[in-house]
Amino acid sequence: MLNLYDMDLKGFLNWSLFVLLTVPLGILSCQDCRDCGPSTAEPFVNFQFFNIDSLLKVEDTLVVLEDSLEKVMAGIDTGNTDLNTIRMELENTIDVYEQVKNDIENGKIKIDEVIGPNGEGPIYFTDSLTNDSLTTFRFPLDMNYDTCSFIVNINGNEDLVGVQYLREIDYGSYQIVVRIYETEVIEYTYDSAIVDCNKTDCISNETTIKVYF
Amino acid sequence: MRPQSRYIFSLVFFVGVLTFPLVYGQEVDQDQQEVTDPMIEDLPDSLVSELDLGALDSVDVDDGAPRSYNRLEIGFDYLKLLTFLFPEETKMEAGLGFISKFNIGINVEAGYGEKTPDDFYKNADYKAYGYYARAGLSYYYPFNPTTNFIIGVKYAMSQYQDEATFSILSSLWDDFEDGFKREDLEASWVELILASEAAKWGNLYFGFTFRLRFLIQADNFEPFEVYFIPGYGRTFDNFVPALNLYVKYVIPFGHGKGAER
Repeated sequence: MLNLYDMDLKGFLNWSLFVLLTVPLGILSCQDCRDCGPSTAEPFVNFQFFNIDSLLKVEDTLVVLEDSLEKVMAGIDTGNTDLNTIRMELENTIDVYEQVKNDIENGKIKIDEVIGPNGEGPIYFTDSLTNDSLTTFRFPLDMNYDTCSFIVNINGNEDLVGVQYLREIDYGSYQIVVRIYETEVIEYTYDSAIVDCNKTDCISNETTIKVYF
Repeated sequence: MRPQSRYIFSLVFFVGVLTFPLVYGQEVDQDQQEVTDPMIEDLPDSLVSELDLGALDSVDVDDGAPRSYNRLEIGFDYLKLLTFLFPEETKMEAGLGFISKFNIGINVEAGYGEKTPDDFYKNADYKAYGYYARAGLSYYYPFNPTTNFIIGVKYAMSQYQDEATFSILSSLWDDFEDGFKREDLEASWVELILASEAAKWGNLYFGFTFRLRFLIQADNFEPFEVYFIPGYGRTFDNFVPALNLYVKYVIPFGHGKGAER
């Protein structure tokens, strides 16, 4: 179609300029999308675990320790300075128990692993900096079904909690995600499990399930 | 590549292809000048008056008169062939036309378009593809014996389909995968065209067409919209400009002024 030998110099240069300008730019403009690929934005529900049994034990111990400290202080007031050492030990012990009590009340706990009822997983939860306990855990919800259950291992003890929810594909813009709402607890082996959501539709990522054991 | 960069490149690309035929058209005009002016200017004035300038009639010069012969034309869009270099889209288009000796043309064009954008959804593989056809009337204004300006209006239809698959990874459960396929979609639109073309080698014409497309109707969906209509372009607006670069071969027939080139 295009015979370069029949072109004059200007025509050849024009054609060359056209090719040099447009083809590389066209190729550059069609590079693969850098961040394209499957989405990792899976829906989740927040879990908090409160070890009420341990909390009661700690509180009982604190009552005993504080009673002891009261008696020691009374002894010191009567002039028995030898009790100062015991007072300091008691105060330190009470501080430790108070901290444990606060942690339990805030739901700070270390989960060994979470698996699905058919052996899915496991997933682990640790503080990325200290490998320490956390207070809130994001459990991924199964996008293929309207229910899912989790087997949670804490200190070697396995318990189960199951949830049910409504699913909806959200095409939004640029990324397709599965929205989950109306999350409810349907089964558990803990003492209790309560759904706590601020909004009426209980959107999954904004919903917290508080588990007491 | 980010969308902003893509737009910049597209703009530069557009300017590049737009300037090419303009420069090319000027070159054709200069070729025409070389036939007439130097032949006379290089001769002594005394001889010019004695020459039978009628002998130059055999040379195809611009006498300002319109061409008055019927002709068929067949061509294709060579800019669209560049899309075969790119993974995101594939386009091809060819056309056929009959132009009467009154320079009124009936044109039919058909093409195929396929687009697989990677910036539509991050986690979706999307493709829209299908065929389209246009038909309409054009007026060819013969600016000079080798250059035409064209204005016209066309009605276009497209039959297309689109499909998508998307996936969301899960850290505990099976990944979520879904998709759809929507077939037998249709769209129609009207185009106003402005074009310029110039003959380079005999009856081989190079030219460009600037189109303004006005969407009449298109099958579309919410919330996952059709991204691209073959022949029309992106669906974000009911008004879309477009540019074609084409080459075509013109076959004169019948008798009339300018038919023998």
